[in-house]
Amino acid sequence: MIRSWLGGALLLFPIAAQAVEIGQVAPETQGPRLLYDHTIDLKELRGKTVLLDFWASWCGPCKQSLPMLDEMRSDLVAAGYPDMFEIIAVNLDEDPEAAKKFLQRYPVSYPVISDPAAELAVLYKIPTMPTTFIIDPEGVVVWRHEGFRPAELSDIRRRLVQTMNGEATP
Amino acid sequence: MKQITRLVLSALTICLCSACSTTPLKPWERGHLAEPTMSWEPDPLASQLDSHVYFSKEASTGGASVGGGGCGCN
Repeated sequence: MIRSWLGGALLLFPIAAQAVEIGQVAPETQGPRLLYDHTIDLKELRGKTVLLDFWASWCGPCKQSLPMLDEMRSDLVAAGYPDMFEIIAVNLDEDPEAAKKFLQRYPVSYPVISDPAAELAVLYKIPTMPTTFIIDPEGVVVWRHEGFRPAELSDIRRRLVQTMNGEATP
Repeated sequence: MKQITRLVLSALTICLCSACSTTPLKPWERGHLAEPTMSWEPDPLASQLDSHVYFSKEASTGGASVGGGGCGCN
C-alpha cells in the first residue's frame, strides 16, 4: 500500500522541461516582425545558417548582446558571408512598446520577431535570458548558448562561421 | 482501520501536493522582477545619502550594502 502511494505521489511531480536539444529540427518559428507589417518565417530561411536570439528589454545582458550581435553581423557581411546567414531576434516583452523603445536606443539591422505571449519561448523551452540558438541550413539546431557575456561573442562567431562552412555537427 | 489509513494517506498526499503549488517563474516572465520598484533601493541618490549618514554615524564604510536581486539574468 505504502509503495503504491509513493509511486502515485512521485507521478504527481512535474518532469522538468528541457530546452530544445542539439541535433533536433528547430520547431516551426514564425511571428510578426516588430516595427514592420509582415511575418517572418524560419522556413523561408532554409539554406541559410540562422542565429536565433531570444531577448527582452528588461534583460540586462541583452543591452550588450544586441548591439554586439549587430556588429558581428556587419563584420561577417563585410567578410564575405552576406547570403549565408541571418540573425533573427525574438523579443519576449509583454508590452511590444517597451521593445520598440529599446530598439530606438539600441537599433539593430536584423529582423526582430515580436512574441509577447511567449509562444516561441515555450516552443523552444528557453532556460534563461538571453538564449541563442544556431540553426544550420537544413533547419537543425546545432548549438545553444545560454546567457551572454561580451567575452563569449568570439565563441558565438566561431560557431556561426563553422556552421556556415559546414564544419559544425550537432 | 484500513479505510482510515487510506483517508489519512490521501489527505497527506493532498497536503504534500499543495506544497508544490507555487510554480516557479519562467525566464521570460521575470520582467516585473526587473522593474526599478522591485529593487531594494529604487532611488540611488537617496540611498547614497542614507548610506553616507549611516557610515558617518557607525564608522563602517562599505558595511551596509546588499547585492543581487532582480530578473535573475546571467
